[in-house]
Amino acid sequence: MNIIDQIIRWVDTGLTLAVSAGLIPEKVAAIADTIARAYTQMRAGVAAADRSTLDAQAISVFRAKGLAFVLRNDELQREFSGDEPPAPDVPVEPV
Amino acid sequence: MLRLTTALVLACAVSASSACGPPPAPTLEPEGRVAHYGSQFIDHLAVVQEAVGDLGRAGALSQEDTLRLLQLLRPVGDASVRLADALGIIDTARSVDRITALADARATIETIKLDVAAFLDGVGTISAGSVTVALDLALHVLGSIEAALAQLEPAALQEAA
Repeated sequence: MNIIDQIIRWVDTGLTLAVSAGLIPEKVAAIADTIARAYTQMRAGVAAADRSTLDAQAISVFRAKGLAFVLRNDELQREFSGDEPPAPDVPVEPV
Repeated sequence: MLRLTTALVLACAVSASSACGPPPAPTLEPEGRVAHYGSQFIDHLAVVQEAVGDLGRAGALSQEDTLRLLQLLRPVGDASVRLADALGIIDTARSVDRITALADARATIETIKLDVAAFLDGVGTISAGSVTVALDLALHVLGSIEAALAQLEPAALQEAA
């Protein structure tokens, strides 16, 4: 159970106790309705955030694969053109 | 000649097996779906690229022809990165930038189609035969990319309005 569901359960328990304690049922129903609408909005917000994350991940993976393809292409072109690979960028120790 | 055709068809067949995974998650928005198919497209092309390299090493292709085919493949990789960048803007921007990025994405897809066609021409010249099957799979995925991209248009226009 996630934190939102846990909070809803606490609220539900609280409202039940309120009715038992003599609070007007109509008022309790109105509070419950407000909470239910907020809950629906929260769930929709969480779902939208999840979707957005998945989209961003898919785009990142695509970009990374495109870059890897280009780098590999460069590597193969060097192999078949006979060019030496670029020297690694090693810092030179001062003498 | 026949070996080149066979190797490319084989490369596509191997690539096909990796494309038979689960369908994209239904929760993905159109930009996510374009990226998903884009990844599959690059996977297929990477297999073809390695096949070209293998043929060059095996001597089935001359060094010059191998290099030429590799040079023809490179722009497709560059264009894919540009497409991913455009998708990133579409995914995050909430303005007219989305429309610009969508136009970029559409133009990039057209460029990719031309690049793939140029590669196919290159393969055809070398094989001196009718290489019609090679890269069919990649082109099929390209069709899926275009379909998902088309779904982006109403959403992007709505956001920019």
